[in-house]
Amino acid sequence: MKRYIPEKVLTRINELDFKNKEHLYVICDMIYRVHTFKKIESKESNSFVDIPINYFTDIISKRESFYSAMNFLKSSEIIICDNNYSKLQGKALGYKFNDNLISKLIPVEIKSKSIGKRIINNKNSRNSFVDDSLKMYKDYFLKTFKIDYVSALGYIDNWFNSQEPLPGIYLDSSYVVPFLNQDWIKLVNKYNQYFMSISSINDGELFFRKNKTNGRVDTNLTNLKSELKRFIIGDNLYQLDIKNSQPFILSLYLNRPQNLSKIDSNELTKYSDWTSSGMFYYLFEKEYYMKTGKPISIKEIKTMIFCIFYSKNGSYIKEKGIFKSMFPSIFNFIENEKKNKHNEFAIKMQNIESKICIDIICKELDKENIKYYTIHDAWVVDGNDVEVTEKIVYKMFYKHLNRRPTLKIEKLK
Amino acid sequence: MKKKQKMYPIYYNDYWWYEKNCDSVFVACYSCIEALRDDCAVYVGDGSWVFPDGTFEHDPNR
Repeated sequence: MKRYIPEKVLTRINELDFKNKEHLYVICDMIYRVHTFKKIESKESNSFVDIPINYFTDIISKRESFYSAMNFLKSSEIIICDNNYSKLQGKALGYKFNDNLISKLIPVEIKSKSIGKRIINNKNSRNSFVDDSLKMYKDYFLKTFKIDYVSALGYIDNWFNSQEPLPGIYLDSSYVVPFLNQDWIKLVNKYNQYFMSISSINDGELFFRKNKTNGRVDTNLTNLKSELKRFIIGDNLYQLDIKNSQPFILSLYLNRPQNLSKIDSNELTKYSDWTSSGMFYYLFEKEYYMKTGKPISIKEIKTMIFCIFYSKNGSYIKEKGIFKSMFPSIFNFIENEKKNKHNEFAIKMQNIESKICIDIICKELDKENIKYYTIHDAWVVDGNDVEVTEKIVYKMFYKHLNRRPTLKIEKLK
Repeated sequence: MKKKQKMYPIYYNDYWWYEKNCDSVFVACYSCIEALRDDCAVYVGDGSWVFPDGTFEHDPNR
């Protein structure tokens, strides 16, 4: 069982005398993990993070052992505590590492079986909130999802080393200690984020949750940076993406019987054809150029479309003006959907997506015994299963929604 | 982490972001803490992610 702590923290701990160093590792790992879990991204990320005591005592069960280890870390100036606790306000004590010890994370081995067992129980409790319909996918994901750790680590090390050199102090001819400035902390934290995402997968610390609000399934894969996906293990993996998925999902909603009277029929035909063909962004680009005389990239169009669909009414006025000139009644329909709580429209679209992509299509893939991973509006399958998967996707869209998207199919690596 | 996590504030780019400060596209697409990537982006669709300040990241392969 591995835990991860900053390299300089380990060096400091190794210089000191403490009976149960694994308790120190667990505490330091927990502080970094909660920091990441609470999404404290950072240019200056070494801020205090509140951690309820049960987070620690779930792993180090004896309170006196926890206090002994924590007090040792504090007195050794490895961990700093804000000493600010209020039961009334629900404020737990805040912790952070000493600024001078911020460094790349490295693994430390936990040999204690009891600590290892409690870490595993803690992890399993996070994956228990999934209904039975996704059991096959969840079991497959938790059992098989792996990463080529050596290559992925090589990639992020290369990325780290290719960054602009930072001012530093030369200790000898080969070793440079950078100044502890904002850029250094930002760089190290970015590296540590990449490092933890691949290390968690490598250690089998996987999560699999169905989001109750939008029905999407969130996993280590869905949250993995796209450039790291090439390191997922599987010799022959292919990704099947729904082309222009968000505009297409809107077309499914617009074509529901109760909405047809609210939209101009010619406009709806044009919009539906653009999205079903998978050419929406390309055709939008052409019409944009015709209307404005200005070229626009696909990335800019995607940004514009998401702002039109999901932002509050009254914002992104210029972008909305262009869309309105192309699809006036659809624009009015979207604005009407967002007039009360604007986020409900995005949730509605995400629920349509997850209902068909996860609840319906994954169930069919299970029936055909096809093994897969999902990335919201995309599936990752073995090359031998691409053809059957493609057929199932098209068939299920037709069967349940009377329209089908176009898929983009590419080898993952 | 058995305790339910609060979704806001989020520490991103030197600031604590509360819901009222975040871009409305981000607010619309952010529905649970597990959906938030380590760098504070949430998935919109089509391989695109949005950050609390409304900037986007697009997967070049999509």
